[in-house]
Amino acid sequence: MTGHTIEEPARLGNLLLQAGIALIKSGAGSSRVITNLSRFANAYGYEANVDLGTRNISISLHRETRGNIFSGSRSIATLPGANFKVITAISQLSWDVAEKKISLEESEKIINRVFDIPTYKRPVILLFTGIAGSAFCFTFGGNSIEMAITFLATAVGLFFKQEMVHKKYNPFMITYGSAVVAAAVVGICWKIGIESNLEHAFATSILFLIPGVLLINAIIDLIDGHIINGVDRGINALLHAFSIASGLATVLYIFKVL
Amino acid sequence: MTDWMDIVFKAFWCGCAAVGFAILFNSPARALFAVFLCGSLAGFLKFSVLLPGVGGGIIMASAAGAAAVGFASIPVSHWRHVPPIVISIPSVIPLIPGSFAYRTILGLISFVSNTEMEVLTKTAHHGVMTFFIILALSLGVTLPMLLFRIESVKKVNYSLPDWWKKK
Repeated sequence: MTGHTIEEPARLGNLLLQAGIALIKSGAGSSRVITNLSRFANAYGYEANVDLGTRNISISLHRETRGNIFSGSRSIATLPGANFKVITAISQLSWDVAEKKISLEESEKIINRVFDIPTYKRPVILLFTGIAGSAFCFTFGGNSIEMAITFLATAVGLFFKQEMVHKKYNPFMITYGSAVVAAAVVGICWKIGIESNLEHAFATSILFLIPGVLLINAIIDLIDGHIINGVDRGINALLHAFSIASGLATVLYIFKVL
Repeated sequence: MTDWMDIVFKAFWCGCAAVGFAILFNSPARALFAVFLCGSLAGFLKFSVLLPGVGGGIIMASAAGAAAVGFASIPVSHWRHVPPIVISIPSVIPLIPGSFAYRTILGLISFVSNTEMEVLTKTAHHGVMTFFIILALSLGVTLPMLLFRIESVKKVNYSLPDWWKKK
């Protein structure tokens, strides 16, 4: 561990801000962010006071009886997504810091590289999410033809979503558009007469858009007492759900299924 | 017997759905098999509780599945060296009440043109079911944290209590 130099609080503060923002971006719940950051700060002999929103973070550092020695804040421009590799990496780093006392320089190196951690290859994501879609279809009582159609709809819808994310559209527009595309695939399969009853396929083709991380984090935040963040995430999830439903309703209306 | 085969099949597919979401959320590759096991466990418990012989409702079934995943995620996260939410969130996503949510919205849309009382009560019923199932899932997943009053699963002590060792 490094000696306590003049610039140490500022460097540690910036490190904590970076780690906190990375955790928020990756879909960690409020308590998890605060626990991880406190563990970091305690390992270097400081106490961190964290003020946390769902898109911003402020941290003040102080040491025992002395006054405030660092304050700073960061915010992100977009609503957070989900990236569990980043959460895992930062959680591990905070334990390494607490137990093995690795130096500030090494922590900085790891935090700076945290968003370079590779994601899965795009075909792999499409394949497995498609399988997840057809798995949903099976558990809802669909037959094998419906499962195949759901696989196709999910893969096409997710491909469209990835393209829209790449072009930085509004997140709710992305969800709406992807729901329209995925349901339209099922609708077209129904129109050309592959299968007469596609209720299960319609219901499950859009399930890959369900904001599961947000929904569960919303309730967890509420239980932990982060009421405002919980309500924030809950409303966010509700808007996503409404976008999904509007997309589905649009398609059902166009194909006159309703 | 066929009932059980059906449940095992559904559990398997729940595991597959969980892995799909784990990959969508970019979980580390070393966690994927654990997610498959936990997802299957959740599906197995859910559809077992739903059996007529057991007679639990869909809310109890979801709560049971989610609680099992919540407790299982603690040893599993030790085993795979990942935070427990990386295991538990993808595992409970197959239990999310998609069909209830779907029927709620369809009901709302049909209420625009069809103003019968029955449409409204059915829609409200589906909406309430959706809400309570999601509440049951989140509570089930956080149950170990609430019961053990812990901030981190690394602090869970698996060793036997002292009075037991002295025997």
